[in-house]
Amino acid sequence: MRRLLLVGALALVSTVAVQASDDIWSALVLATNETPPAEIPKPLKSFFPTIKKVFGFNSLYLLGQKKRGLDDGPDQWLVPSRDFFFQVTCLAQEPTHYHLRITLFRGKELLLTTEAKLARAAPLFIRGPQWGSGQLILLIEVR
Amino acid sequence: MAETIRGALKPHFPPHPDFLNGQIRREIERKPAPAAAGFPLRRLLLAGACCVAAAVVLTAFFLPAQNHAETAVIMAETASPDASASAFQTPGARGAVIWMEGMPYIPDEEKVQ
Repeated sequence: MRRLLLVGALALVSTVAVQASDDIWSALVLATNETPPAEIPKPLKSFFPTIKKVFGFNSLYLLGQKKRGLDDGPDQWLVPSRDFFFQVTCLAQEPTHYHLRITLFRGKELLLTTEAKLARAAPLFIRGPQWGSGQLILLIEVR
Repeated sequence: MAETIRGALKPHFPPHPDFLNGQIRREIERKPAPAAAGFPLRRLLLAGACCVAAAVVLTAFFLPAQNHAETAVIMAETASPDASASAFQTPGARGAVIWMEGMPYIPDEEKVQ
């Protein structure tokens, strides 16, 4: 019985440790159409099929990215680039989701306020403003 | 009366005491040695194997739910009255998209970092 309790406690601790180590990653991406298409940066390879399907671009440029822990405090600033950044507030944590309030700024200007339930490895794509002939896309993902 | 009690309390020796002592000694010697104190290696290995098995079972129980969870947008509002935002699920994936329209165009010459 004592051994069973020990095993259960160890397993619970390891599970909680996995939950506690979640990070939130954000990136600013420039999406364009080019001939021939530019090589996709490694951190964006897994996002490329969705971006191509949803936004219709064949080339991606990573302008900035940032990752930080989700348990660093209630309000966090995610600054993937100097111009665009997020304020992220964790409203609730559920077994499969983080309920977040995300505000997007460009400089001092507030652009967007959103509330979303972010699942792990299920990114949120935000279609930003058009820049030149390309489109700015902001990515947020819980990892 | 006292004589009767004294007679009753007289020690009673069993017949063949040597045989009886021999039997008792043999029984004591046959008992297994007590387990070594602490946590022997075999138990440690067994506990480790149990931990791994429990972790596998818990992972198999919890991970599918996490792997099938989808990101969902509850609300999205733009600050500018000229802009609007709508949200939808990414086709064939677990992510979501917030589609902002009417955002001011950034010319090529302006640097974005």
